Amino acid sequence: MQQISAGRRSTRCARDFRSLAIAAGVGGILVAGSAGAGLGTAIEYYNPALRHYFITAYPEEAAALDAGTNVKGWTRTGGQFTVFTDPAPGLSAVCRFFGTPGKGINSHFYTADATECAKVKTLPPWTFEAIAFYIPTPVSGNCGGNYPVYRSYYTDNIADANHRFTVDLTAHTRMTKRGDILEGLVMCAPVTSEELEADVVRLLEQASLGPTEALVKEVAGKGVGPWIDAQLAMNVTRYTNIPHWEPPANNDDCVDDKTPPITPQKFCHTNNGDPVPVAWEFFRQSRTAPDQLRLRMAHVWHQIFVIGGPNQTYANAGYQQRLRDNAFGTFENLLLKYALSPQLGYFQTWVKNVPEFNGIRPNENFARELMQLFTVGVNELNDDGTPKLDGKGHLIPTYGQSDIETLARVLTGFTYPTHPGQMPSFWGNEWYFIGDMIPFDDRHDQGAKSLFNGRVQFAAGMGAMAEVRAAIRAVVDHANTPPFISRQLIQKTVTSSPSPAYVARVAAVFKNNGAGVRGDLAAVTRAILLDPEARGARKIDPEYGRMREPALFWTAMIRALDVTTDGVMPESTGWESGQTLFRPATVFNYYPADYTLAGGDIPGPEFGIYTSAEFLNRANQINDLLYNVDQPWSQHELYGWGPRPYVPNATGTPSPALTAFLPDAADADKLVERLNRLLLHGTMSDAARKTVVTAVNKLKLTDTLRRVKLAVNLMLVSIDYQVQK
Amino acid sequence: MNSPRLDLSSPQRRRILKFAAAAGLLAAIDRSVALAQTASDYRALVCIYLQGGNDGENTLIRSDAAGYQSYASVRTPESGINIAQAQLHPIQPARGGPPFGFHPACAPLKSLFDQKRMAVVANMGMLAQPSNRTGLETGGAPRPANLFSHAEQELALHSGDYAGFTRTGWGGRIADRLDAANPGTLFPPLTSAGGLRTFVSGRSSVPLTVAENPYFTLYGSGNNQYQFDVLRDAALREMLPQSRRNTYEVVAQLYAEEGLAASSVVFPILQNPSSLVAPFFAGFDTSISRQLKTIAQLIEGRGETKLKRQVFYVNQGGYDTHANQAGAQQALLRDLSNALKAFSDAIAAINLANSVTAFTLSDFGRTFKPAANLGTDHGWGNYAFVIGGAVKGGDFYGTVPALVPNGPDDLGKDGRWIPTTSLEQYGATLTRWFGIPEADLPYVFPNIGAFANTNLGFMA
Repeated sequence: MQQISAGRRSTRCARDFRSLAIAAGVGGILVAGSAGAGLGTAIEYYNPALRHYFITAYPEEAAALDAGTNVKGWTRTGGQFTVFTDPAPGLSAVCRFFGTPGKGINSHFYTADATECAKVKTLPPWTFEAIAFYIPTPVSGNCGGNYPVYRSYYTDNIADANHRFTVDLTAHTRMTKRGDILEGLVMCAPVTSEELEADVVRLLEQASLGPTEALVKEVAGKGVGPWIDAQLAMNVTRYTNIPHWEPPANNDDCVDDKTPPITPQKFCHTNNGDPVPVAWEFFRQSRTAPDQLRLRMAHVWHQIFVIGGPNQTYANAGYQQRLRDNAFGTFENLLLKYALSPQLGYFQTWVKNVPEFNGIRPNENFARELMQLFTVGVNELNDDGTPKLDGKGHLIPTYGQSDIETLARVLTGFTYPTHPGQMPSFWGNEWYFIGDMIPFDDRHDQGAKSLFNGRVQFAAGMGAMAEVRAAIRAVVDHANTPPFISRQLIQKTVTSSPSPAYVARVAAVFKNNGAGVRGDLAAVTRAILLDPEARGARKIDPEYGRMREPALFWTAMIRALDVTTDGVMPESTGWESGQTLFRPATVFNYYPADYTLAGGDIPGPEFGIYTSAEFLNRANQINDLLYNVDQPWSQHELYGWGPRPYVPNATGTPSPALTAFLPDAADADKLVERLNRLLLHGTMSDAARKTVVTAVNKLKLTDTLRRVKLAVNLMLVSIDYQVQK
Repeated sequence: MNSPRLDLSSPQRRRILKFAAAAGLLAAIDRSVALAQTASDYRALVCIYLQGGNDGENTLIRSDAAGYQSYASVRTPESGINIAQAQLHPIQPARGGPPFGFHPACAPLKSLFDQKRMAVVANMGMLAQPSNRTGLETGGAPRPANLFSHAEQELALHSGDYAGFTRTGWGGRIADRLDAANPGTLFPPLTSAGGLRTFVSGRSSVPLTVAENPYFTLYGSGNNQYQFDVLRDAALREMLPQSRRNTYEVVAQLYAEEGLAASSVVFPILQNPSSLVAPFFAGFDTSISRQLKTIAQLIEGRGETKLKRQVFYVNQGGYDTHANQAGAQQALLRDLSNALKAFSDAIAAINLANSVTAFTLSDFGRTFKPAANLGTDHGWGNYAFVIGGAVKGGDFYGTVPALVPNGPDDLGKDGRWIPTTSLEQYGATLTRWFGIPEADLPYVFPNIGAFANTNLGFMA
């Protein structure tokens, strides 16, 4: 058994933090006397041969491990937390032990508990080394604004045991895979301003259309919780209200006329009969709209409550506005807004669905998807989102074909809203996508119905609207719905592979917001974003994060680089990237919700469209965005980056001036670090940093814009940036 | 069969890194392509996935009086989905029996059928074991999980796992077994122009996905004209192949390296002005025609990849015709037929007709009984088509179901035909022709043991 290094306490160790200010976090405990104490970093290592973790706050020890001088096989996990190097009131001394050679295990042990320390000192298998560092401990099971340090303990075999100490709750939760017992919260690590800022950047990647330097500063000052609350209360950004438009009876009267001179008015189809103008406006608004959380959540919801037609522009603007308007009400309300919309009636073919006649059955399209995609899913779930298995290890279906057929009978008797000035007529009402669909009881299946093996019963004669509402209530109330929906919301904001415990915490809020309300989406959104698996120190669990989807890749660039765009080019890149905004190919969204990586079982929905071609696409798009100015090909009238003549109020997507970054252009280290903080929340590796700095410095110091563009190009193309974490 | 955890040190990763190193990340790409003169014994399988569930009962319709009557008495003119008898393109299966007619939009397919370059497999679908109505209704025969659900049935047909647990595809598993057949090359043996669907994922192989368009390249790379391209290329070469801890980054890096390396081979092939196959697709500009053109060009350019055994995947969406089926299916079948004929003719023009076999799969057939809104709902057993010079075409294989709703062939009362040919039987016939050894067939189709006859005889 090798001792890693002689226990030795160092004082005032050198650190490369920019500031020694300790941010107590929002509402956190400011540790008395801490202001004078020196700071250190407990750095975590892992040895795959031993399957052991180790932390050290001694810089010399870390350097020796990094170099493999005496002891080999240990690499950094990326995990670390801040500690104090000197005693002070309010801090606990952390005892460090190692297993006595010949008597104890090949592992170290730390404890901040004085009683435990005294006890372990009396045990022969353990040898006390030193007080390794000083740190606050929890008060009433709580760390306030400091980062909880969790401990887990693996001892499958008394001859081999190991503790892990980590501030990453996801990583801690998953230690059960090694066989660990999760011992929970043992210490509270102070939070540096760099870590606080990094967490704010991460929040904005989860809760907005992309971080900007200004917004990062604002949220860091306000605090994450208060910012979310302010966002929930903010006015809703509106899509331009586009008036109702009927496609002409003769299609030839509304084709796009491409003969010169080209004007927007000649593009009847594109500007009235196509969802693209709504997507243009989405990208256009993304840069400065203040209600970023709402816009982000509406973006999430449009991938769950999917609409892929009709094509009329006004119909699409109206539907997307519904999602924005109702993103923070209740789930049931949002689902009703979806289900009763004429857009959905059209898309899922349940408008004008009628009871069976002449052998023609009511259409099952929406009946199936209402359960499969929008509420309960195909298999029964535990509260933490994991599937239930029967006695033989099989999945348990949530519903059967008879439930679908019954729901199809429920979903009968609705037609398009009535054109103003016309008489309502079930068959006569034609395409009109303003307002909700209207019920006709005499076109509704009025028979008694039974769902879910009789658990839900509808008496005969309920009437169309009452029965549809009751059916929606029944599926919303199903036990599957909270975990099924909560897990997807987490996947689309925070991480593709949430721990079951995280899902369970959010699902519990979905079930009951604390005031008896089911599906309070404001509360659920808050629970997702404030959960410790979303917040905190750098996330180091290997299965944490999500692939950036193309649309958000673009809005993040628009915002971070301050790109003024009319939205046309960002929308058109969606065609090669697989995310044709507001025009998904099927109700299953742009990519499958249950997609897993490379034939394995690790969830990664957005990887469904991240192909080998997509890496090249993104690299080319970034390149073209940065360098398109003055390029003749970029001014191509119908397809280029310049203003397109068929687009009203066109400005094109000229390459950004990057003005904010030019003052730092001559100092490559400073420039790259600034971009590292904004784009990668400080996680850039030393090797990558060196590469980018070297590349930038090959350009003349006075070539400021080109220097900034090169740095931006390399960081946006990097693999690190592709994965949001 | 369960899926393994993704192994970060897996052979598939090492293989891609070797390929990337050999092809050279960002290697110079302007060199001319030698169109393959390399040896014979090349074979390619092309999976054409009709996403959404094609209505086979309107693609092939009995054209004799009694047969058409059995069709039209259920799919009445009032239903909106009836196809008139006079509009059918008649064909006669070589094995005898009643005549059929292709959907009006499928004249090119009739042409292929009559030239014996196309075979029809009837009533094929996902099964746990040979099943009849009684067994399925009483539980004696297990059902595939989540029958009639798009996502689950696509997953089942792609993975070959009726229970829904497997995330690799049988296309990918074929690719897993192609190392010996493809000596001297690390180029990925499976290429998809239709996305990263389950079919293409293997355990040890990594699929190459290319776009429909021929611009599969990093703009400006390998070209010394602009300093920022040169600097970017040099920096990317350093930054890309870093070792990473995050699983999502590892996978992203895998695809990035593969894309960069493959683009140096693929881009010249797709841009080749002397391509003999490209002209066959002139005049068609649909997604399926672009995808099949890309595949045809890659086959033509196989000398550059040095592959002898290659699997391809393309995807045509839109078949979920719950409403207004007539117009929608007409357009889809027209585009499919044109693209398939162009593909078949193009491959014949470069003398590879006997080496390339294309086959269709679709989520499921559709309910024989119409549904409201002039459409149909999700069914089960369906027609499948196999196209190629090595196909014993002009004939039907398998059992055509009697068109009797609520009859013995129906699981229920709406005309969802219980398949009489399984995916394994269909797929094994193709896979065996392709050259996978008998001993490897259970790896490709884990449930193959449930079916007695796994060679349907439609390949020469």
